[in-house]
Amino acid sequence: MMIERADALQLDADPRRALTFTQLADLSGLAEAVLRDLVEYGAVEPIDVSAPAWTFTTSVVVVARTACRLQRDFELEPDALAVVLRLMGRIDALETEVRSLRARGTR
Amino acid sequence: MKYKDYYAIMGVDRGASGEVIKKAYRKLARKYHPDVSKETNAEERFKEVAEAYETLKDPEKRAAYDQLGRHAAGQEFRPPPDWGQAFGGGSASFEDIDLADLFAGLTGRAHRSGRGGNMPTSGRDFEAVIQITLEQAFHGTEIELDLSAPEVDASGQVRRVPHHLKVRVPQGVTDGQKLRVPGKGGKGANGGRDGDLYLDIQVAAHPFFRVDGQDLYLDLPLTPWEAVLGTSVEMPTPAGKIALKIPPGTRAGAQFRLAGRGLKRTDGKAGNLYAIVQIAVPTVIAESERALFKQLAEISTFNPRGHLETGAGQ
Repeated sequence: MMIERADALQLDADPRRALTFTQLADLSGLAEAVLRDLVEYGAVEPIDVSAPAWTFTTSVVVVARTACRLQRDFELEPDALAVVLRLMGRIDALETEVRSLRARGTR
Repeated sequence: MKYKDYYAIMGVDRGASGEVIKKAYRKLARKYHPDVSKETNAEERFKEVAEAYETLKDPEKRAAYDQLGRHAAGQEFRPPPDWGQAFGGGSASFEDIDLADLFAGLTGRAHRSGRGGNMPTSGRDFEAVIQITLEQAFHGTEIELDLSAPEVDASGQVRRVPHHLKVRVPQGVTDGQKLRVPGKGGKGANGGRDGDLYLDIQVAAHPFFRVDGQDLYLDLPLTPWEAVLGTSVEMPTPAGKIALKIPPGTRAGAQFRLAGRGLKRTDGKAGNLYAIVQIAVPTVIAESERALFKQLAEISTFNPRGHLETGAGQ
């Protein structure tokens, strides 16, 4: 069996590896119309929302892929999807804070 | 090929209507969807449910599934001899695929034979959970993965193709982070791009370093006399041991920041390592030690509870 080698890439906030709108739709599996709605509802954030052509840091791929899974598996409309994503984002932030507080405290 | 009882997985009768199946799916999805569920084995359960629903919601696939006959879950079986002809061909071998591959192949054939035609289709994304140690996260590492993915060949037959992959994980990855390995998912069709492989990184808890983003925290126990007199202690960092100077009069809870000794990121910036002082007290002491502590107690004027006495009784 052939052994393939590959590099794993970080999904981060580095603007040098920014994705176009079409690339993000393709990577996430979201329809472009749904992705556009999610940007307008503030659930997926471009680097500059007022730019004529939106670009995105690769960190957004995780949210967009989650959106695609939730839409497919729960058959959600974009507005409901945006609410779910926002709440999940808040849970993520709180869980990160809990982990952070636990790490800083002594055991 | 092992039989899976899709109706039992969905908890519905074999004669259930499409509406009943949809309702059962929604109930199970709310309970087990890995993005929202905290149930144990949620992901595994949801995969089964999604696979069952994918077939049962589509009347054509459901009819094909029903034609496979009734078997016990997990039982080895082969589709009836005429099954392949009735449902648009079949795999040359049913040994190396599972039921989901069989029905995925059915969709593929339906698309090629009319609906959708020769439209470029992107390959599926794969996901894998990778467990690494903190040291591997710190230095970067190479992991080996054996993936087995269903692929549809030129003649429309589905077979599982094994892939052995060595993936370089960059330094500084953190617990819960996702990494993307471009082009290492399923093969694209008709000129569509290959899917990607996503790695879900889990960093195992370390016996003494706690992780907060790129920063690391370590509890550093000192003896009472080390804390009072000051000393130099050897302490571990992910890059190896270093000597840390402890100034006289160090209190419990004091933090020493070792800049840039935390986890490194690919952009070269590094987090900090914090050593949090704990004062450790010996529980078993020799008589000579007890005598010295007694002597200290007699001559010391230090009162750590002075601030509590000023407000006494109020």
